[in-house]
Amino acid sequence: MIDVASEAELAPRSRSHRLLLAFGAVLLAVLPFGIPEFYTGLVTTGLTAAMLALSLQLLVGCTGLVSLGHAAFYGLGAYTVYAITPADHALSLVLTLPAAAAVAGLAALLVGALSLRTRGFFFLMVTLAFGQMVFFIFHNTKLGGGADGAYLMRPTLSLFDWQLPLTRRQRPLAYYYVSLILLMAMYLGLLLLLRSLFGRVLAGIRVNEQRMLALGFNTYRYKLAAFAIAGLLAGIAGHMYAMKEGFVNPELVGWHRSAEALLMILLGGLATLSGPIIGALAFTAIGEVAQLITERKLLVEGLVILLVVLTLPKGLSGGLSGLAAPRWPPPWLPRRPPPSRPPAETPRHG
Amino acid sequence: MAELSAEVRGTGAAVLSTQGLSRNFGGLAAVRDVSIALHHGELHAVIGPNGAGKTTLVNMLSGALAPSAGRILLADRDVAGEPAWRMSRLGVGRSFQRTNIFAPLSVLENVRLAVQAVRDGLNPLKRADCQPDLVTQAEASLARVGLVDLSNRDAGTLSHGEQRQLEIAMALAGRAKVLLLDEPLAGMGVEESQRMVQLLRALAREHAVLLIEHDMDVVFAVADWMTVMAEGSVLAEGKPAAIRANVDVQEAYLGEAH
Repeated sequence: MIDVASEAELAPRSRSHRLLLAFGAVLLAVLPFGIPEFYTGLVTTGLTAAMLALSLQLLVGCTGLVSLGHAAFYGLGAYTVYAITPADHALSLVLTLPAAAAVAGLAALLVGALSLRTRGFFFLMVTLAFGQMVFFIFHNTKLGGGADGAYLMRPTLSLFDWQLPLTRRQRPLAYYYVSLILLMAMYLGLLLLLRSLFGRVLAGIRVNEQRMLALGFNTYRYKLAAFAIAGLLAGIAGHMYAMKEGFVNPELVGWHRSAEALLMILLGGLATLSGPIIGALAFTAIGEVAQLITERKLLVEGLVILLVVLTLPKGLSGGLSGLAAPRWPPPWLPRRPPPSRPPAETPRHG
Repeated sequence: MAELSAEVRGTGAAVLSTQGLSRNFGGLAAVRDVSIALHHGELHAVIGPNGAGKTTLVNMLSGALAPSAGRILLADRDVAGEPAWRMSRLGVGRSFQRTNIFAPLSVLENVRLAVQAVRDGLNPLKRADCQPDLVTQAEASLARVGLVDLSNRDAGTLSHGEQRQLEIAMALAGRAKVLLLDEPLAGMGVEESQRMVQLLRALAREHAVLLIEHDMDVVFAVADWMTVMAEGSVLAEGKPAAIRANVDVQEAYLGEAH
């Protein structure tokens, strides 16, 4: 059963797909009780990466805008925590999280307002340039500790005078669950957003922007809104990185990080909202395994991604839903080309 | 040309008109000093050989291209150089020469977007599925072109002729006052063409229609007024009977074709 509108929404398309996602969510919720402490931290890193990739998916998969500067907003979220936290005491998450989101969102509004005047390849290059500008600001000035980065007091889980009592050993668990809750909220929020009138406009822009303009949509405004929201969400992801690591450095902002986020989306699948999450978790796992077995981590990562992209054109999420609802013939079998259309113009009279 | 200006035009006042409209591409003058007027209730056909500048003219009227010179008056307001999205919101709808739809989206969604595009005061965060008035209007538009039974199909799976009809439905959905139809019959079968001709007649009663068409049988059957273009300029204009009798036109265009 195929839902007519879901193509536009990137929503799970079948009941089995939805069940699979629910199973994944439950698995993540109980995971820390079944794995050693070290791996809880690793999965938290994966969840943070998932938030970054998911925020970028709003641009790439939903709107058709490929940005190479998205990590700038991720990094700005992390650096905001550093900037507003005093050296001698920690601030509450209730304060740092909105601050990180706001700074990243506003920066994205500004960068988007300028870069969205270009399209396609030029947009890619302009976002890259903006991203590198932010990178060099943090790398070459003393604003955020310079090239070496800086340690910071981690935000606390507190509200006014009340603070969640956490032992040192419970802390990683708390970071894990805060990240998981934020990621799930982000996923559901985006699902609703894409189902809205606004989301349908983004889908229209992805499919055929010129036609949207001809219909009467000022597509620039919609793209700018999407860009700002994506930046804001990336800021939240960056905040969670800073909270977990207690450390920021310019690498967070660099274009490598932006490219990684794009790879995660590619790995997980462009056509679904769950793809980037699956891709980010898989990417983190691949990186860890690669580091265990070889010194050439990037080479292994690259090979795995190449393999996935070649064998599963819809990414891991497409492959997974294929497992849940097997199809024959499988999509990778060569097929006969579809019958050709009549030509657009056949003059019947001279 | 002198006789033409004296002729009596169709019903209603000019809705959209141009004065000395020109567009250059580098050294090439694609459209040169064109002045035409579209009236409500009138089907205005623009004919001319390939490269005469017809599509460039439509692209300027719809805001897709900015004119190099001249004015475009929409109810006495100069709208030359306005972007395409604003022209659409001002009531100028268009269809494209090469089918231009949202292939992966459903037929209904294609038209629903067209309705949404020109509607003010919508809350963009509302669920798209729960907008009965948008859907009703989209369905009315689909019924008009005879596609309502195919609402749930992916637009890309429609036949070529059906996709052309969908183009018209999208142009209609915006409640446009002016319809710019660029070869709506291109590539259509005989039966589909006949249905489209009926539709064009009906549309002309309620809109100001500009039609670009190569099929002279169709043009002379439906046009109330004609403009003949050649090499970017207006060669002649008048009622179909006058155009048929015009010697210049016969030499420049009809002669070589028939």
